[in-house]
Amino acid sequence: MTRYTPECVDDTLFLVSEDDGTRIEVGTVDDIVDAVGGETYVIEYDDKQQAQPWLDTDDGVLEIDVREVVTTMSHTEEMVSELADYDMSTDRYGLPTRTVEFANQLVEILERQGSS
Amino acid sequence: MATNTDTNTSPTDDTASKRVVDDPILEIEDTNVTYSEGDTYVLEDVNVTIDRHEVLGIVGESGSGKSMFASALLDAVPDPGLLTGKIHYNRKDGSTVDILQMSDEELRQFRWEEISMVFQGAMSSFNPTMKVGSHFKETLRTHDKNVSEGMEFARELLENLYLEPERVLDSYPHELSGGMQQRALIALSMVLDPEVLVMDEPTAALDLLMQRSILQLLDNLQSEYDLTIIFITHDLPLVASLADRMAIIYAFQFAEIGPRDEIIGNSAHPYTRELLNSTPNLDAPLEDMQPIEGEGPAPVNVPSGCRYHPRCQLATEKCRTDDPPFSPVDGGGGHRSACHYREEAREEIPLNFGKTAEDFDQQLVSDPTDGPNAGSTATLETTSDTPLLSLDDVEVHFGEEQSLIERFTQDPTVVRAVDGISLDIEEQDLVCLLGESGCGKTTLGKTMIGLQKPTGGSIEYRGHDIWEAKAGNTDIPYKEVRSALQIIHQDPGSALNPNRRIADILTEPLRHTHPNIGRAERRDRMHSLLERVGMTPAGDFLERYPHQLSGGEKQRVALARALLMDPDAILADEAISAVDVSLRIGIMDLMLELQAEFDTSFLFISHDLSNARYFAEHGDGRIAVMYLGEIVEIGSAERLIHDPRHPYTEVLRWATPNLDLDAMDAEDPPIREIDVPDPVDPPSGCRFHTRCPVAREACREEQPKLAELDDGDGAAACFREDPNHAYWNSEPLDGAAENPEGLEQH
Amino acid sequence: MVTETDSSSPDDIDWRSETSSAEMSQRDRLAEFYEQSIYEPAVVAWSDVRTRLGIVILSVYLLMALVEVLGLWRNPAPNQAPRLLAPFVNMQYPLGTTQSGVDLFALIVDSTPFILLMVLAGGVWATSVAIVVGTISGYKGGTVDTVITSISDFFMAIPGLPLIIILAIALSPENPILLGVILTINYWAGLGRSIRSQVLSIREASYVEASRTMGTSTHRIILKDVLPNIMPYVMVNFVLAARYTIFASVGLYFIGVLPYTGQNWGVTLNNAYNQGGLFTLEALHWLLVPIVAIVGLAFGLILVSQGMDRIFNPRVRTRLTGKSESVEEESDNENTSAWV
Repeated sequence: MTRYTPECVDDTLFLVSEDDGTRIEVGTVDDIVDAVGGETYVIEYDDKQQAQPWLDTDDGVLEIDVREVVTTMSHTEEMVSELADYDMSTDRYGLPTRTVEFANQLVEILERQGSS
Repeated sequence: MATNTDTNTSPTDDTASKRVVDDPILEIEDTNVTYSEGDTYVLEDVNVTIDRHEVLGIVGESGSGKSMFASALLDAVPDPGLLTGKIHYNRKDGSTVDILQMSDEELRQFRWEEISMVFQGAMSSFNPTMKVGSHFKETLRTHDKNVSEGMEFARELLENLYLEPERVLDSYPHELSGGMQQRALIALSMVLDPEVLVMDEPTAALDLLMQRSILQLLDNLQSEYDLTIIFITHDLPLVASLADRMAIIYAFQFAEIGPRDEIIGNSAHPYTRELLNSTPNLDAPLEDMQPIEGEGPAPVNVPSGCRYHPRCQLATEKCRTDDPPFSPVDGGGGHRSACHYREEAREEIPLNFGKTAEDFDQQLVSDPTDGPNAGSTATLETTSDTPLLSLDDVEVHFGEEQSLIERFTQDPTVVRAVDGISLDIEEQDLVCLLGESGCGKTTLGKTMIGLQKPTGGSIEYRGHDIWEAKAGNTDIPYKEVRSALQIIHQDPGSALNPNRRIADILTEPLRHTHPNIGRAERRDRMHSLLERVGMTPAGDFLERYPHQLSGGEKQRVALARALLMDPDAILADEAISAVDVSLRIGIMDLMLELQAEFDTSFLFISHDLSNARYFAEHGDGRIAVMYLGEIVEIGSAERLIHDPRHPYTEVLRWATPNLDLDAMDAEDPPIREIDVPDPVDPPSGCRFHTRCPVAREACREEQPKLAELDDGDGAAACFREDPNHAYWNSEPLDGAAENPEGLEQH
Repeated sequence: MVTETDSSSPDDIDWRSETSSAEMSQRDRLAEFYEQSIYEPAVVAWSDVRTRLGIVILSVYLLMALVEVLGLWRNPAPNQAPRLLAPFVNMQYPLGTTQSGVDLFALIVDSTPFILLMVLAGGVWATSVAIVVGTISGYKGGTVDTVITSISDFFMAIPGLPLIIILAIALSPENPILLGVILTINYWAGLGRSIRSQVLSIREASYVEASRTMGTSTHRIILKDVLPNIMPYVMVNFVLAARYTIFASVGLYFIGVLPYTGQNWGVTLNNAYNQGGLFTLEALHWLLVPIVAIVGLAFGLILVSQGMDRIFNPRVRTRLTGKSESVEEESDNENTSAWV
């Protein structure tokens, strides 16, 4: 399973394969933040989940810094293959479709709270 | 202590299990959990003792209160539930504490350090932005442990769980598969070296093979780290292979508890016995598997007297009025049961899996005539008639449509969900697609009924290409094809539109099949079909919305909806896996009966060989085993179970829980790798070679073709079928058996 | 288990019978329609205090419109009454009078039909365009989606207020319906986009796939499977759009961009302000009456919209229309799901 780690060049985010260095452009970090819908994204945990010793939440609410997450979190080959189906040129709501798709996938990862 | 009756009654019988007498770690006395200011009990009158270093399996249907028991052990009952009673915990050093008297801070330390828990849905309690390694560090830090020592232990645990420690620790949770996440969670729950591990349905969302592998690993961990494990599940046969003692919870109370062998082989409660008989398995004669009628009660209307009496075949007036005491059963090593008629239960409800193999084989021989589909046997082999559905070298590849200007020079990202499958489905045929998740069985199923367009090959309905028909290029109207192929989904919850009443939902297919009928006639049709699928009073159900039905009832409505289309084939995609165990056989029987009545074919998708066996054997159909987009073996259920030819079929056979006590104590899985390889980049040659216990060099280079068996029905794709193949002369792969002959005698 | 059909159904029709000749009558359809689309929603709506209050408030406005249409109250005219009469002093002029001696109640009533029509037109236009655009774009996908989203992008990119002002000046709309449409001319784009994303997830639901498998036509799937699920959201947004229309019109009347032939709430507000209603206590009611009229309407709309959510929720529906024993069973389900 090849991992793709994020790399920022002039504020544009790329996902780069750890194996052979192939890269895919995702869009500018600002665009991603816009597509996600804000600088922070909030996920919630129920009572039982909050009790997990590794979770340090404020009453079950975890605030996520979108900018930080997109520039640090690595992704799977599967996700990259889905991104590759979209291209960078077509605008949708003023943002490249791939950027929007990346944001959707990111939100899904956050919402699933880690489960696959 | 009052609760010690459990361990003290018959000290001579402790050979029945390996538990240590008189060293209880948890003593639970008169414990209740109530809601609505004490009016509603969701856990009632629990008096149980748990011994140090035992594995206690607790079995109950959904909504029986079994999860509440787990929460109670950690004093973590969700608000506004009220937990009362005493739960004594005996530390290793001999001191005793009452968990319910602890302060918040004491409790915080006690949880995870002494008693740790993996609960249902714990997989979504990861922090998605944190690497798995950080989860371990954070856990160690909040409990003031030495992080570097703790991480050493974490690596050891991960290794014991067949994971690569460095890779897992350096991954984000979403980068792991479900099975890996679950094992990472188990390692997390053990990293503080707790005494007790409480697991609440930890494997329910996983494939059977992964579940069984994890249980096997748990067994190893238990003995290595001297754990006490409380394993809570709805799946009786699954936990039976692991447990020393077992308990059955029914309607918020313990119905029975005792040594595993007593519970499985000599149970003294009708519910346990009927539950055992209703569980699809590979050993019992099919005719003896019986569903339990009715469903478990909700907490607001628990029956008076014995809670099980409305569903019990032995119930008398006494059962309706008197609540039976939870008292010791004669001669049973701590075996207790809450039933007035234990002896009668043992006599009147024979267990089906105890029959001998000869009985079993005889049943099998006579079986075809009993099947509702008898007589159609001939169609299975005939090829002269046009098959109902014909797949020719079908491929479904995802991610192929890449734009050309991409920076990708190669294309490493194609997922071959289905890769070159040819299969004919005859009229009134029955085919089960069996495999792990991600093997492409759902994609193949949807391709078969024309919901998924293949990227290669063709799919024909009675000789007409489905996708050509859709484009209007054949003489058969697409409408006809469309209504001939129907689907029943896996999740009954989302299969019905929540905004429409059952009557409206069932009207939809009638609009297609009988466009001009009046309201009264429409209702009559729906009415009679609902009664046929066992939903009475039908008039009442017609007026309901989906949220007013149970999972099993929703699935019956989905079945009725598909049948009203008068289809030629129905795809049932894991259609019973979301239904309670005791109801599964009922729904499968219904499908089989209706198949005969409606002359349809069934395509049944499952990851569970025992369900597939029930279906295929009763319906006289075939099972197709899928692995990474390919069919590796196909044949009758009988042949597949008694004479599996592909090593992967063998593995699935191993993964299927067994109720035979002699064969129960599980061996290690007959695979070299627990995890399925990445479908983006499947292994070369035979795709199974990375996990196959008998793989050799030849398997890495050449891909075996699915070939008809000479001495059996069906086909298999393995070099071992060809006695002259180069396989026999090549070197075994790393970790594979030198002498594979032993495996065949499994 | 039984293998034969239980033929307990009347007339011996079971699910496999041939189609009978009897056709569904018009009366059947009407009865069904009444039951599902009028009776049940009405019961649910009335059961909630807030919705009930909202309905009452909106009824008051409808009554006022009726009074005007039927000519039951005098038309406003200068010097029809003493100047700057305070409200509730003279019951001939219950809300008092303006500086030029116009009956304020007559003023408010006079423009009620106009305002209601405008609000309705604005709300209906904005939401219906958004629904059409959002569902088609979301459900169809592909090229259709790309074209539609490009068009709505274009509309979203245009600054709203200047566009409306230019249109208002260019067209001088005096027709309330045209005015409502102009005020919400690009309101639909944003709403359509969020409807689209909801439709995208609904279309993946198993029951939509089941309908597709049966060969149900796309427009019927949208009508029966998709729309009911986004209806609560749409209704809330209908009200928001309606409220936006009121405020926008009042604002534009106030700054004098919109042409007016007679008086209306916005114009009255403007006059009162210009005549010093903010500064003298005597003229305060002149300012307050139109404000109360405007806020009251907006408030009524919001209350009703909150109740809309319940009307479309099948759980509430079954509980309140007394269908079978659903109350008990529903609480069971909720309970068990909460603690299992």
